[in-house]
Amino acid sequence: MLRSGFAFIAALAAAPAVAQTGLPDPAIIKVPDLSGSDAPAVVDNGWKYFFYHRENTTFAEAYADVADCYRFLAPAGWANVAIPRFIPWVERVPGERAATGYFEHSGLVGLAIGGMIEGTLTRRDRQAKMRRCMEPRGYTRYGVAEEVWENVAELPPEQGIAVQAKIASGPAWGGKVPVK
Amino acid sequence: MRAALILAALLGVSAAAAAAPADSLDEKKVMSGKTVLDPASGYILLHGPGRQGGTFIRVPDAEDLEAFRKERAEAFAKAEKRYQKKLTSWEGEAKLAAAQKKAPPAKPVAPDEASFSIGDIEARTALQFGPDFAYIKDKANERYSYVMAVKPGTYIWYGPVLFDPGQGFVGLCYCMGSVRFEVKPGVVTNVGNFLTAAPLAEQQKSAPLLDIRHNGGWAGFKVEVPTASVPVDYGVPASLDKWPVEQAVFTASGKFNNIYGVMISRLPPVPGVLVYDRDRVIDAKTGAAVGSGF
Repeated sequence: MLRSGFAFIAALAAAPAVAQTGLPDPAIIKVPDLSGSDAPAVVDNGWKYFFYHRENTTFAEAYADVADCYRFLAPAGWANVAIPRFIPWVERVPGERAATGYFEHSGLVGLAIGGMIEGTLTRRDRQAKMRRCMEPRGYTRYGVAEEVWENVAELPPEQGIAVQAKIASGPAWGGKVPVK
Repeated sequence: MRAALILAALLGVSAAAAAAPADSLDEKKVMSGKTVLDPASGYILLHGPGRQGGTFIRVPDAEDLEAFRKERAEAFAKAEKRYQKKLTSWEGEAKLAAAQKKAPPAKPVAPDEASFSIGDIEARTALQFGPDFAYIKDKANERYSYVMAVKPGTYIWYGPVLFDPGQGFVGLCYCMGSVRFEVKPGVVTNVGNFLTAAPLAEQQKSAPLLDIRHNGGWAGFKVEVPTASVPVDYGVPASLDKWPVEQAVFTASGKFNNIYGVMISRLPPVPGVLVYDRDRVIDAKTGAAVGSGF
């Protein structure tokens, strides 16, 4: 049974406490229920919603691997260029210019379409980078329910890394390995 | 590429954000004698079956480090001045808020010398070439050559990463392992088709990759990422017969940050040069693990 997203994030809010080694204490990191990972629909979607597992791996090793991969996750595109981006005009306090949007060639329609697909593109970018980074390290990818994946992906990096490291180094949990 | 960089400049992209375009040589000018060998300059020659393009990162030398330190110190001094102005203004606003029994505005935060950043130094020594400005375009024989004049030094193959005016940075960085080579002054360093031919791409399966399309120029170009190794060819164009040419010597290069936020990968293993132990980059010549960065 899937844990409620809010309850899960709330449970993680206090974690992870950092132990003497600089690593979070795995004993207090709560991981989501992964028991549904062998459901056919979850396996089919395992190319996009997934976590990793590797046998004979310590929490410290997994933490180092996931953390190393997180440093590559910066999104691609204009976000990396200090370019003035499209900002819908609203009256602002002079000097306040916190919100930014995409530099857009195709006007408001293009912007609206871009807005609809932006979340998906960002997610695909992140998923592909994790696959490219974790799989050469010998980890096996297993599908998880979309809600479970999103709850972890939305965590602050230090918490997301800790949860995925515990999942990757813990007892075997994966169902069928996704074909895609 | 030049057009892209001009557009980037017009749009306010800093020189540090967009890598410098390579100073590409034109075969016609070499043949006519308009372009002659500069003994102080280094040169890189490479070729491939289609349009080539990507980014090299030159390992910063003492001059680069000094310029970087100077620029950072100047930027920090400016940030401190700005902070002092903001602080003065804030003090007045806070007093006014107190008199009006309102909550004071947020106090400005002083810049911290230790964490102050002006961006990555590697973005300042990055050099982009292609897919336009080819030295030779031989579509019939599937051979596109590129020759560029560069500052001598050590160059890391960062991968087919390009700045595109319509998309920002696109491509694939070899952030998890690649190769490097020396470029000497007054000599053409011949990279041949090594960067795309030698790596055993057939041994490296990974997540699917979107096409790398550079939409600069009139029609736009696609830069292919190889899916299999082919024989390495160091053939030199006849127009460079009188130029001193040396074959590049490659060594393994460690992990690098994803400074442009593009898709990540690693150069597939190259026999005798580059191997991996899981994610560790190993110098095949010495068997030693290679550290990250420069």
